[in-house]
Amino acid sequence: MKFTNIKDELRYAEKRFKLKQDIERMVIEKGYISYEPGMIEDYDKYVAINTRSNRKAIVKVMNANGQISILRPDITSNLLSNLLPKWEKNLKIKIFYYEKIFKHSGSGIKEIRQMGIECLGIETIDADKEVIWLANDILSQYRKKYILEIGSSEYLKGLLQEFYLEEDEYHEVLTLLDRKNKQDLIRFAKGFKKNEAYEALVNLIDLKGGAEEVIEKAKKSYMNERMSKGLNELNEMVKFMKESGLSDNITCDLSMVSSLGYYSGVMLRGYFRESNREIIKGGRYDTYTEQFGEIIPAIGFSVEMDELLKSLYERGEI
Amino acid sequence: MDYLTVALAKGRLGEQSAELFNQIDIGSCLDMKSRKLVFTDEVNRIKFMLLKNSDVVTYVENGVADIGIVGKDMLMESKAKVFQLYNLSFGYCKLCIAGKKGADVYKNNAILRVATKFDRSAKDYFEAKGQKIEIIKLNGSVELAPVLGLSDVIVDLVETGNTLKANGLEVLEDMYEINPLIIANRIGYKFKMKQIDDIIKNIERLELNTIA
Repeated sequence: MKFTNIKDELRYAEKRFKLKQDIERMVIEKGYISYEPGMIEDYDKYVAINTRSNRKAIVKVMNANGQISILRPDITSNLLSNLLPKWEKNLKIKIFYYEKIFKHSGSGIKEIRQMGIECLGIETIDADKEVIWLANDILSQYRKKYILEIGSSEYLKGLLQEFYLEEDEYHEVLTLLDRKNKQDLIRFAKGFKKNEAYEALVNLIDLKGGAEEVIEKAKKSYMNERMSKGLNELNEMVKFMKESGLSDNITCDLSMVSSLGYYSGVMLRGYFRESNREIIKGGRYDTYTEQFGEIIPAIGFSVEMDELLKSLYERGEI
Repeated sequence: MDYLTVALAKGRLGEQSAELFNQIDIGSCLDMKSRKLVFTDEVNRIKFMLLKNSDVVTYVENGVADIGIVGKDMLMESKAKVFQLYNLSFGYCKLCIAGKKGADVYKNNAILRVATKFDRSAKDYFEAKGQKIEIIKLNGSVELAPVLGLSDVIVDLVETGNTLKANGLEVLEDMYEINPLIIANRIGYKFKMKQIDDIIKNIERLELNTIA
């Protein structure tokens, strides 16, 4: 939020500090350690690993030798490129950060505050449970009415691999799923093989709503090994949340598509009713860690601090 | 229960949308001839707002309206990130390239001058086809541009083709099929999924019955 007078501006800054401290306290209690990633990275290295990143939006600076460096466009890749070269076997770490990322926007540079957590090296199901629990804690701390939505990129990729699609077809299907346009999807899939997987694909958009219900429905439709692995991970999470009495606000959307291509398992998003952006987003990214020289189990999420603060401040809730 | 907010376009599309809602027993409060811009259906807990055609997408994308009915042409122009839940079966037309009879759309080395209201859609389309163009942005009576020599071709919506014919033009190439659709805000939909899905189910049932 922007203010024209200093009094409001300082008041807002004070609230931001309080919010940051509150969430920090919550994650420290759960055993997360603070980590400060570097601000500057090498441009060539970054785009070689993050091939799908929007190069125009990256903020470039030139170093003394005339090489191009960048101000970090995201935290996760920065963190992995720092930590993974030093990785030791059987390490289990839980870290959190509160940092800014930088992006070109219009003619200016935008600074975006992010707070996030990452679990590295911890067994899949354990870390999944740990992370959804924490995400739920943060959301429920500030609102009775919120939605914590889960999806699975493994389930989705497992289903799509049945069709042996060309790259552009693959992306078109993802686009249609993301728009939730079932009619266009059916029209586009006309030429696809009409097997059991086909039925599952054209009905995928309907698999959304209460998490338990959706998972039960999905179990009854077509399934291969990869899909089953993805669904099972979701099921374990939902079961765990139910046993802890925390499942009321959890929904599932099996056609959830992430704009980041690198997720490889559970994806999660948190919403508030009156906010027009996700408050929480994240997921599992084991295969992404391979780009940094080591495949380890990895999952994390970030909290959009500016959005969260704005939505609390506007209602005088902080 | 919260009110569901619905954005409708003023004009013909809005009238058709209101008719559609009335047929599934929603929005009896809608009076398209009055000058009022907001109508409330207390029974179904729905608030309708009447907006300029090109603003419907903006209201839905920013979450002021949960859902809206808008032509695909507007959606393609704005590139808004909204859910596109349902394609409606009325108001079908095409976005076309039109020009004087026999005019060339693809010129090897020359830059094609294109007059249109739909500058983004036209730009994307010709870029994909590898034809260099110059956009001449117009706001109405686009058909005049090739006749008076302002442009080589036009990109415009064509329903019957009568307007083109009356001005001595013809369709040179079909670009996209255009129909109105129900769009939803990405967050609002998550919170009102059942209410929205029920409305769409009813519309689907109605359309099936009408065809049968």
